Amino acid sequence: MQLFDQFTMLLSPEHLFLVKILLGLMLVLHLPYIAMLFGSSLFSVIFRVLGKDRSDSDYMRFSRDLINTFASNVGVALLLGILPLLVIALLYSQLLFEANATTLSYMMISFLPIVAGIILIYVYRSLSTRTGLLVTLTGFLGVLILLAGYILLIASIVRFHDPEKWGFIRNPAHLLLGWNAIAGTNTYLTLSLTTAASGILFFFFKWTEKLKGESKTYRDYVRNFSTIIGLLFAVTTPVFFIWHLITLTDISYSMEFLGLAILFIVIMGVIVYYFSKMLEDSNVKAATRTFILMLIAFAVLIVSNHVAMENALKEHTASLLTKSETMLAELLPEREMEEGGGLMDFAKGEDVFKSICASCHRFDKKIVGPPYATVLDKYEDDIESLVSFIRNPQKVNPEYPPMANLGLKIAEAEAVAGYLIKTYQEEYK
Amino acid sequence: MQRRDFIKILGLASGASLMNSCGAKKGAEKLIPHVIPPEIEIIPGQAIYFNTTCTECPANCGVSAKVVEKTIDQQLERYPVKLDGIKNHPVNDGKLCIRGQSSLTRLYDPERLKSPLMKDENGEMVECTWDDAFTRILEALKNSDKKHAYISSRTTGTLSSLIDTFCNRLNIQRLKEFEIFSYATLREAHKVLFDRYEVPSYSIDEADFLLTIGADIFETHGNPVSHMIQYAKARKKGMKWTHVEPHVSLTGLQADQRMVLNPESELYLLLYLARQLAGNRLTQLPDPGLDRVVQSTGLTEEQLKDITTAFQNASRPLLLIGEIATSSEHGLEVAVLSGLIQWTSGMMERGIDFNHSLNYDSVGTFRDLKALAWQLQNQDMGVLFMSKVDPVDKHPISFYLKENLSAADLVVGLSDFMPVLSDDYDIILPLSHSLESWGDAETRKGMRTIVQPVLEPLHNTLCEGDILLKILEKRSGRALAPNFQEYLFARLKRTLSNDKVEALLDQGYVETSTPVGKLNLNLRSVRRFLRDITLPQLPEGMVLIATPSLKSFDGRSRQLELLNEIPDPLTTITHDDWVSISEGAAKERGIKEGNVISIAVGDKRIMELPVKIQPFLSDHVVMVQRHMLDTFALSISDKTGDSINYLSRLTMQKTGSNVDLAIMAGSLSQEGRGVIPNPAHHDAHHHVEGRKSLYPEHAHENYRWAMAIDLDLCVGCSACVAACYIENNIGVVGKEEHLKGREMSWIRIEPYYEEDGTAHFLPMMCQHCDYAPCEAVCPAYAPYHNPEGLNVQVYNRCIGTRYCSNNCPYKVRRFNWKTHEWTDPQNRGLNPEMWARPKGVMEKCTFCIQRIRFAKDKAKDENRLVRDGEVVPACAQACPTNAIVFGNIMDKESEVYKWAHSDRVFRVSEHLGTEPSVYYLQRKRDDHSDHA
Amino acid sequence: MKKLLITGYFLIFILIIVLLGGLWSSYRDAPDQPIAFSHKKHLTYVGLECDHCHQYAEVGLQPGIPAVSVCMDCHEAVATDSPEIIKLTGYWNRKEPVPWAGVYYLPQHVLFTHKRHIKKGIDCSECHGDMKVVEKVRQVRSLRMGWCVTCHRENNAPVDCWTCHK
Repeated sequence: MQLFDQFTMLLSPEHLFLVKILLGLMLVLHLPYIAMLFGSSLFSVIFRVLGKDRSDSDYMRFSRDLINTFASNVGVALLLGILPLLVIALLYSQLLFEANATTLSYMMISFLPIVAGIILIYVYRSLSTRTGLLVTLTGFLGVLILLAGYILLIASIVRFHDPEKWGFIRNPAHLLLGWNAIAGTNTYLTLSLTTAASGILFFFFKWTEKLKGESKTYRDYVRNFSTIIGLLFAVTTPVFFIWHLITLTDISYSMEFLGLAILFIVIMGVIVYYFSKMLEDSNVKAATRTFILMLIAFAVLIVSNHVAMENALKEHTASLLTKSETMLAELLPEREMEEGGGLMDFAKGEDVFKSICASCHRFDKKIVGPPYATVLDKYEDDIESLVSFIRNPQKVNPEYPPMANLGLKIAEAEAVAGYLIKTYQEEYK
Repeated sequence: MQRRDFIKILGLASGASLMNSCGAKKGAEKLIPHVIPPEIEIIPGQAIYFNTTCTECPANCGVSAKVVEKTIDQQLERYPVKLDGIKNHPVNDGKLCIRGQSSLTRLYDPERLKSPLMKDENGEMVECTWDDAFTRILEALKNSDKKHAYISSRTTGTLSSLIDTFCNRLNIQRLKEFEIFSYATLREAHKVLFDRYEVPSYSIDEADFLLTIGADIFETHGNPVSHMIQYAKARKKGMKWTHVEPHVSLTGLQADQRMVLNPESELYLLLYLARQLAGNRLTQLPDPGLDRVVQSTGLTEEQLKDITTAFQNASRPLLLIGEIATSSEHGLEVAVLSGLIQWTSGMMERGIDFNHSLNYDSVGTFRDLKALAWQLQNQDMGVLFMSKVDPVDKHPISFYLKENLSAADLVVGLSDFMPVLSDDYDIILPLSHSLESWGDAETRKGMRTIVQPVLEPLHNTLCEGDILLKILEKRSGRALAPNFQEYLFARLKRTLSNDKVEALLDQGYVETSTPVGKLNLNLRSVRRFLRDITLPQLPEGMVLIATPSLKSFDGRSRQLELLNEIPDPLTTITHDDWVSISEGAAKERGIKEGNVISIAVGDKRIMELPVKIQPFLSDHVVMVQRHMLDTFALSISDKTGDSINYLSRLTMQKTGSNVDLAIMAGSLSQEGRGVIPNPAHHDAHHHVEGRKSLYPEHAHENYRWAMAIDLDLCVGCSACVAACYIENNIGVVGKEEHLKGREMSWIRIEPYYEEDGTAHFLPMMCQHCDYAPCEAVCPAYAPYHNPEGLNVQVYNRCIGTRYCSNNCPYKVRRFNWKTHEWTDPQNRGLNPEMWARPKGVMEKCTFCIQRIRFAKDKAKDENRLVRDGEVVPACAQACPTNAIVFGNIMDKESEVYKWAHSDRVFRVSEHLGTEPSVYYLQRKRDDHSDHA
Repeated sequence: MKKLLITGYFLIFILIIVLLGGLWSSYRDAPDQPIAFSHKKHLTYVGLECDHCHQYAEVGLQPGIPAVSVCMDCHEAVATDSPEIIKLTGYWNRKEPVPWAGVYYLPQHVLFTHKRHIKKGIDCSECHGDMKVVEKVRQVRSLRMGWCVTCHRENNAPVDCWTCHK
């Protein structure tokens, strides 16, 4: 999108590498946070409704505990939820500079609901001690809006893999309609819920030992619920993931990507094993390990997707790099003016001729290009245009292949031009 | 093993088959460039055309070969993929017959000889090098003090002169050339009449009344394609045509009036006609009297009068006689008398052209084979060359050629296929196809055509000229010319001006001026001849007639599988040999179709063949195509040296065995179903418009393609069928599949023998119905109606339920029961514009959609709509009579629109409401013969 | 037992990934070329246009693969000592065509015409990506029918089956 191109500029290869690292980091920070926020507030709202329905105080308490644990600090929300969004936007528009990816704008649009969702959820938290339908609705709305933004964000990230479809995406529905996008979003969603579940186990039982004073029934309930939910979604995640993999474009594949995919599956396998063990033994021994693995799995998924995008956009990235190279090259000569050379430096001119020009040109016969003796005539009194021709060749005679731009520095070009004209005048005129 | 390879192997082992259906292995498809770009600029994917000459029969039609570049086995080569006539060619004007079309399959036939063969000590034919073969030949030539001989089929032009040189230098006797259809009788008659031992060329197009007697002008006689083109022209001008024959022929069935006479009674008819038409000038003619004529010929008095009145009323009548009339015992008399009628009615100035007579100068007769037989019998044969000819297989049995062939020191055969009697040969040299060779031809006087190669030889073969030059070079150590191409050009430059040579290479032919010789009747010899005419006794009982064959000519094309696959237009039999008898004769003897009968003359068994009942055949006539005879049982005329194609005193016996004949038509009759509606009900059937339908009307934007076929012009020659096979890569499936009803042809010729004695040939292909029954029943939506009015089959969608075929009232859909194997080199001849459909897919006529696409593409380049006549489907292009037109029926100026609004128009099974896009035009009829 | 179940369950996924990887690397990955021709070098550095070598793109079904002699026009003199050009010279001296590996694969029943698309003004890069930066060519578009049809619909190009099928 030209809009985003205005705010960004070409980067050198080193910068581009940095951008990628930074982007990965941001996503690894941002996405698990949103995942847990989304999962916990979803559960919280559900338990609030259920608690009201059945007049069960445990449900109500669990609902409050959930939202209080995961939406505790506004600072965290700003740091992990909102700030990375801006950075991500900037980084992506950097990566997709001049790629004309419509999907980028949908990603930007997704930030609005995400921010709105976070705000609503925090409002919901601050009101959670009160009763009333309005509170529940606020929470519900927050979750929904966050979900919508989240789906949009994930779908656009997934769609970056598929440059051939960019042109055809005209509205958010197009963004989501596609097996690859559906599978990709679902992978993230199921993984989010697993993360939320393992987060509950970790934060409720390990981090603060929050539930120490609570009744055993309540503790057992929370543990059971989280383990079952975690297990359930951990088992389903690989299905969507594989589906996503199968529907991925060929150009996104690489051995690195497949390796990461296998790693992801292995980690998910271990997670499932821990969950099932905790469920079987009715304890939370492995909660910390599970949670850490969960975060790693999330990171691996993000990185693998990133690699896939990288592969898909290989040509685009290469073209960005080439462009930046040429831009740099344009900036450089001015600096080099000071170096020696110039029109009178015939010795250097001869060197350049022998090492570069002579592969295609002779004075007296045709090799690839025309013999100098036939073409130098017109430059005799206009050596400047010969220099500029050498630095930026145009096609002259259709019978010959066009001359290459050999990237001579000004000094070199001037030296060789001087040498050519001199030799021409002395020997071949 | 690297990680990559490990994954590759693991993946491949389990999933390659899964993937095979959706892609090629990476890099497996090679993009082969030229090393040096060819002189002629070839745009990739676009065909180029070369003009050359067809050598399937002596007519030597001009061929425009469509050539494409293809990569096969990592080699980028040019291959011809379709042959058609050269536009405006004086012989065939853009048309080719069924055999010419099939010539391409001869080129790619896997059975072709691929390298020289020599007999080893054990009598086995083994491959050898050209050098070995030449050495052996030269040794034999040198060591033997016996006479050597060279016999070939008809050659003309440079090759003929090279053979002369070859024979002179190596002291070989060049025998008269051998052709089964040598026109010996005609030539002999013309010698009697005009002192010209020649076959004239005919032009029918100016005639207003055509009388043909036993002439197979559409099958083999002279230039059949040329005759068909001229017939169509004359027919459009309203020519009337009466045909008289003792049997049933394709030519005869097309005539307005077909009269059947008794076998070998043509002399009586000619005597009658000569007296009536040439009148009082022929007083010395014997007069059989009307009664005797009626009794002998079996024609009624009325019929005889019809002929004479029509002849006398016509301003430009034309009389032609042919193979069947001239090959009887009294053929010469018949030919002379008809020549006299032609002379007296002034036909020599219009229609019968001796100035451009066919080039049969060096062709001998069967009689000349006797010399060969005599030499062999005398043990006086050194080396015998037999080029493109197998007289041993074709000679009259009484010559004992085969038995004596071993007496020759060395028998050298030059052939493209293994000769039938390959045991008799010592060396067989494989010949290149004409599409692989240089050469020229002079099919008739004043006409030079060029044979130029359009591809490199597929096998280790040489053209005849090159073989002769190489033998000469090896003998003398000095080359006459580096190769035949140089030799040819040297001679062309000697005999033609530079402009003409250029024109020859460019357009494929040049016409040179010929001296206009005045034809003089040799009164003395004619008188002497007429005096000697006596009235013959006609044979009693069953008579066998050996007929020329549309598909295999004299038998030379019978190896070609495509021709075997295409039904014989009279009987729709494929792949088999058969004998035709009449229904009456069959009933009398209790013979059923498929019964094998044994036919004998006296006690000499002639053949055993299965029976096909041929409508319209006389009860006392048995008809068999000449090449289907077991041995050459026919005898030779002493007077002319021509063969006598009649056998009388026949006995027929059932052998008790049965052959399942592959007969494509369920019935040779319309069975009263009104496929071709009775003209009396014409109005009721005609133009049913405003029919109510559940389906929405089709909207057409620019084009609505339609076809119209004039049954008055369709002669059933089946060239369209062959053209369709080749254009559309249709598989040849063989007899077994045909017997199961699994034929693949997209277009077929349906012969309908009517009760009134006329016959129709109805070309039937997909009718591209507007309300197509096939479209509605497909669960996969594979057949659909495209915006241009075509009923289109989407092969990728087709899952092979065959519901569409069941629901098609025209039986034109073909199912691929197996994947057709295009063995190398057949695959090289496939049309790249068309897919070769795989197993399990329904296919059918597309109206040559690839040609529509090509025309539209061209039009789009020029920013216009497709013009009328720009799209020509393969069938229409091949049709010698232009009986098929195709075009956009929304264009009111188009030919197809005009034809579709003719008052003769009908559509097949119109009452079904299928609204076909193929319009048929009824045959024109005389008012008195109208069905009333 | 439970461990086995979990291992089995996840092993299936791993196997699928391995399978996908195998298929991809043998069917869809960029094929190795007989000569490591660099489009980048010729387009960006030398400044050739696409139609300098693929001269039939605007008039033919296929754009055409340049004849070996076209390569040799320049490489008789240029970079003759580079190992890849030595290979090229080898082909030239043996008068053999270079067996380039096809990258873009269309099944036999599909008819694609470069001419129509180029004449319509569609840039080569729409389907081939930016060849100016490519060293080893890979297929950057799926060439699936859905992709073709979507683009045809967007541009009001004909979508009749027989426009592209044969």
